[in-house]
Formats: sequence, structure tokens, C-alpha cells
Amino acid sequence: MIKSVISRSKSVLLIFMGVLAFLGNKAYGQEDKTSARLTVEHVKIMNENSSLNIKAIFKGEEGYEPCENLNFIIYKINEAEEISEEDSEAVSEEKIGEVKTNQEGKASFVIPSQFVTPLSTYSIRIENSDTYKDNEEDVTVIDANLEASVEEIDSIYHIKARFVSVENEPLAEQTLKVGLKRLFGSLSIGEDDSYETDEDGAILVPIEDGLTGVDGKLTFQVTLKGNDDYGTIIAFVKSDIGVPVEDQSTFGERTMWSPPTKTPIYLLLIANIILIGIWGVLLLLVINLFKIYKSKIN
Amino acid sequence: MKQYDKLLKDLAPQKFGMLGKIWVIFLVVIILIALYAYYQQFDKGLVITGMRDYALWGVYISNFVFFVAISLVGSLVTAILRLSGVKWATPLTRISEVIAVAAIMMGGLTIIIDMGRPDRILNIFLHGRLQSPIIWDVLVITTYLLISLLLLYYPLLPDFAILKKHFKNKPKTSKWYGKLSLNWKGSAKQERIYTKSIHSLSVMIIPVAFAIHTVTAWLFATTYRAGWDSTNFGPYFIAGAFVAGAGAVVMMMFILRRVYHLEDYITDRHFDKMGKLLVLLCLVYLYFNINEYLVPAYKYTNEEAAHLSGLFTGKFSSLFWTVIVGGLIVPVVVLVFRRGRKPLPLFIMAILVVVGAWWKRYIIVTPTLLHPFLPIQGVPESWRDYFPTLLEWAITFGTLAAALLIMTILFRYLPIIPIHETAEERGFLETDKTETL
Repeated sequence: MIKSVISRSKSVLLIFMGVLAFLGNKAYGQEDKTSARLTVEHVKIMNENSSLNIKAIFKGEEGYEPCENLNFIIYKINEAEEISEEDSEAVSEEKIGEVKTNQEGKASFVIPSQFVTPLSTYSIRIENSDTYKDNEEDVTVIDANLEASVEEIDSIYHIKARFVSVENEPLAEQTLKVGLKRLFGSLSIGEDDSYETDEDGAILVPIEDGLTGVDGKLTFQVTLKGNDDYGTIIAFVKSDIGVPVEDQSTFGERTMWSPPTKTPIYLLLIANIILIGIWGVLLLLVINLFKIYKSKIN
Repeated sequence: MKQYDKLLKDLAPQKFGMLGKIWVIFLVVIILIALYAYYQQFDKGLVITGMRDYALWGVYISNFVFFVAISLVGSLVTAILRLSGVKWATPLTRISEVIAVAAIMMGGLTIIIDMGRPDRILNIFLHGRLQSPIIWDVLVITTYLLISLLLLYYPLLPDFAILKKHFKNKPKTSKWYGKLSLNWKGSAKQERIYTKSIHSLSVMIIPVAFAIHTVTAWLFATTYRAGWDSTNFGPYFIAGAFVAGAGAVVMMMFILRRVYHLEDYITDRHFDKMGKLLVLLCLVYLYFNINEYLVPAYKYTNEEAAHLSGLFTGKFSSLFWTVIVGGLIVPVVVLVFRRGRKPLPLFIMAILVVVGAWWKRYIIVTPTLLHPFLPIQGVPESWRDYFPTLLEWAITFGTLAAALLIMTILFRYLPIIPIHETAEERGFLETDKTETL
């Protein structure tokens, strides 16, 4: 009897331990995955495209490190009123694409134009990753337009920009930055760092003289940066009002830093005159030895 | 004629004694060890040295600059003193010419040793850029070598003719000296060509000698590196070279006088004069040193500060102060006194000067390279510092031994003191010059 009880107890214990072990393993597997921190920015480049710029990092042993090769699935969230007028609570989502981070943990997803609507919500998700826990970040943006142009007013060139809604309503009191696109960033234009739109949604920034560009071509950049409602919107304006950059390359010229075939003439002359002068005398001195040798025979 | 015969007997080349043979064997052994070390370097590359990305010039270049410096003595004693009409220097001319030839030969060779791919040496001539001071150095070293050889050879012509006659009971030796004398008979025509040629060489060697060491200085001074970026560097190097060269001559004078019993020809007066000359040269060099260190120390830019603090109080300070005090100040203090210019004390001071001169080149080359403008980061620990490896030392000592071997062999077969000139100065040839020759 006692044996039977002990035997049963053992069986129960084994089953209990087995279940614990199973649950424990599962729990440990979930714990093992890393949490990724996501940052998503909606960027609209006027007359080009809209994109979602994603950055993912995790807390590693040496501080925050980029999540490399992390796959994101992008969904467009369709709000209820867009789907059905009857069911106000209905929400649907549609997968619109996938994107993978690079070595810096960054990824850029260009939103197909058919998914760009006046009010858009996108959900960026990590799903079923081997390394990272499931996570998601939602971005909601109101579509708007930024129009920019270069205009000459009283012989001074200005950047004129207008920020409007998709219905062409001016958007006032919004902060815009104006810059000149350079190789590694943007050079600020005007006296201030940023400008606020007036009641017409417009700004007017004078352009200083003497800005240089290849063949005088300049690309100005008007930016609405990280706005809570509209995200980031950039408008580029190309113009020919710059001072053409002069090519100061000495390639092919005779300089002190040229290859042997392009030695400066003055250096060739001086060096060779000295060399010929000295070695000429040395040759005469060697000939003198022969003269000394021959003087006995004569 | 009796006096002349004694002079000839004293000054004619003599065979090596036991000590001489041991000395030659000793040098040959060092050279063989160096050849083995160089074979290792040739096979494996410069990785066997302590040189890395930062210290890309090391003991070889220091040694090269030292050789070039020593070689300058040929122009000092032979040309400058000759043209100045300084008669007391006659017994020292051959010594200085031999030192100059040996030093410049080994200087040229040391540069090849420093090359990672010596098999590509022809490319210097085929693709060298005339804009580069390195090419100027190649040209000027080659020129100086030829001038030094000619300046050694020309004054030897009458001596070879004398030796031909002197060794007439040794036909083979006599024949060789005869050939080398180029049938010198001391005829008026020969004398005219001879005198004119030596005068031309003496004049020409001075600017070329100045050029060789100035250009060597420009190898450093044409960069922006702390410790090298100086318009003072050319004269600073020349002043240092004269010190090293004069020190080397004094050392050789003392040793040769002892070994070959030349007390009647290299007298205490010669030591006294050379001692005074050495004081003057050391003082000039000290003046240039003050210029070279005081001005940057006053400005104390970040780069110069890193470099100078390393020299004055840092890692190289013991070497720096030993060189400045031991190699320059102490010799000046000792040699100012007449007793200090006696042969033995002067010889000891000359050793200090020459050894100091060698290490001075080391502290000119290395510390600057270890202080680049951009911080040394993310590199193996061995790149941060430099000290020569054993194989590097072996090769370096090999080149020094080779220079000494060249001198030893030349002093074995050439008259150490110019016989003809000495006889002429002492009036032994006045009676019948042609008969004597």
C-alpha cells in the first residue's frame, strides 16, 4: 500500500517536474530574446516619394548597439470610417511591404504611392524574429505639401516656400528650415536657424551672394522637421544662381608634387645645370689622370 | 738623404702585426654576423626590425646620417684647411680623406639596407622624382663619393711613385704601386696638372660637402614634423657633422700614431691644434642646438611640447642629456685646458664626441616619428614604441665594422702620412726631387 502510494507520488512528481521543465524551457526561450527599441520617422520628399525611416537599437554589453539585419513588416492601418460606415469600430490592416535594417540598424521603406492617403497610419512590426522580441511602432501622419521656389525681389534672390494642406489650405505657425544642400549636409541660409510660416503658410528668406556650386548650380532645401502631425517634409529647389566653382586642380601641370614626367622646367634646368657643371669638372679631372699617365709616354 | 730614407721607412705601408690581424678578423666576424642578419632581413623583410608604421625610420637612418656627417671631415681637413694654407694639417689629410671615403661608401650602403625591397633600387633612377629631396640626396652622395675618391687618389700619385721605388725588392708590390702611380715622374707638366686638379677638387668638394649634409637635413626639414620642421636644420646638421668628423680624425690620429709609431709626424702639436678646432666646432654646434631647442620650447605648440617633453624630461631625456652634456659640454670644458688637449685626454674626449654624435642622430630621427600629429590609436602595442632589434643592431654594427675595415685596409696599403708632401715641407726633396722620385 505504502509502496503504491510512493510509486504514485513519484509518478506525480515526475509529471510535475516534466511540466515545470517544459514551462521553464518555454519561459526561458522567450526571456532569451532581445528587446529592440524602434524609432520611426515619416519623411515626404516633395515630387518624389514618402518613406518610413526606421532605426532599431538594443541594449548590448557595450551600451546601445544597432540591430543588424532585422526584418520589419509594414502595415497600413485602415481606420473604421474608411472601411465601413456601418461598423464604426472596425479596423483593418494591410501588409504593404517588408524592409531589413543595415549594419547601422537603419532601414528606409518607400511607401507605394497607392497607400499614401490624406491621413495615414502605418504600423511597423517585428514579427517572429529569432533574435528580437515581437514589437511594433505606429506612425500617423497627415499629408501636406511644401512648395518652394527661388524668386528675385529687388535684385536679391529669395527662397519662397509655402506650406499647405492637401486641400491647399495654408498651414500657419509651422517651423521650416532653409538650407543649401552640400555634400555632407545642409548649409543654413538666412540669418536665422528656422522660420515660422505666416498666415498664408509662407516664408521668405533672402539668399546671400557668393554661394558656390558646380557650374553655378545650387540645390536649396526647405524642411519641416519631425512635426507631430505631418512628419518630416522636404522640398528641394534647384537654381543656377550660384557662383561657378573654379577647378583649381593642378593635374597635368608641372608642379613640385607632379610625377617625374611633369617636373617643373626651372627645377630641371637648375638641377641639370648644377649636375652637368659638377660632373663635367669631375670628368675633366678623370681625363687629367689620363693626361698625367700619358705625359710620361710623350 | 738619410733623413729622407728614415721618413720613407717610417711612412711606407707596413704589414699587419698580430694585433692588426686580430683586429681584421674581429671586424670580419662582425661583418659576417651582419651579413647573416641582413640575409634574414632580405628574406623576411623589414618586419625583423623594430620599425613599424610610425617609427618608419630607425637606427639605419640614424646610422646613415652619422656616416654622412663623418664623411664631411674630408672637406674640412683636406679642403678647408688646405685652401686656408694651414700647413700643420698635412699629416692629417690622408687620414681624413680615408675616413671620408669609407664613411660615404657605407652611408650609401646603409640607405640600401634601409630599403624593404632593395631589388627595386633601380626604380630610384628610372622613376625618381627630381622634386624629391631623396633624389637630391642620391645625386649628391654619388657626386661626393666620386670627389672624395679623386681627392684621396690625386695626392697619392707621387706617393705611389715613391713606393714603387721603395718596394723595388718586392717586384709584385712595386709593380702595383707603379701602376697606381700612373707613371708619375714629377715632371713639370704632371706637377701642373696635379696641382691644378687638387686645387679644383679642394674648391669643389666644399659646396658639394655642404650640399650633401644640407640635403640630408632637408630629408627631415621639408616635412612638418615636430623636431624636424626647422629652417635651421641644414647648418645645424653641418655644424654637427664637423664635430663628428673632427672627433673621428682625432680618434684615428691617436690609434694610428700608436700602432704605426708615427710620433715624429703626428705630434702633440697636432693634437693640440685639433683639440682647439674641436672646441670651436663643439661650441658652434652647441649654439645651433640652443637655437634648435630653445625657439620651439619657447613657442611650445602642442606638437613641439609632446616632442620636447619627451627629450627634456621624458623617455629620451637620459639619452638626450647624456649626448648634450657628455658629447658636447664635457669635451668643451676639458679641451679648453692645454692638458686636456694632450693625446690621451683628447682621444677620450673624441670618443665621447663620436659616440655622442651617433646617439644624437638617433634622438633626431626616432622621437619625432613617435609623435605623429594624429594620436596613435587602435594599433598593436609594438607600433607605439621603437627600439632596434638584435638583428638591426647586428646589421648596424656590421656597417660600422665595414667602414673600419675599409679604413684598416686603406691604411695598410696607403701611406698614412703623405710622404711626398711631408718630404717637400721638411725640405728633403729640395736637393734633387726627380732623383728621389
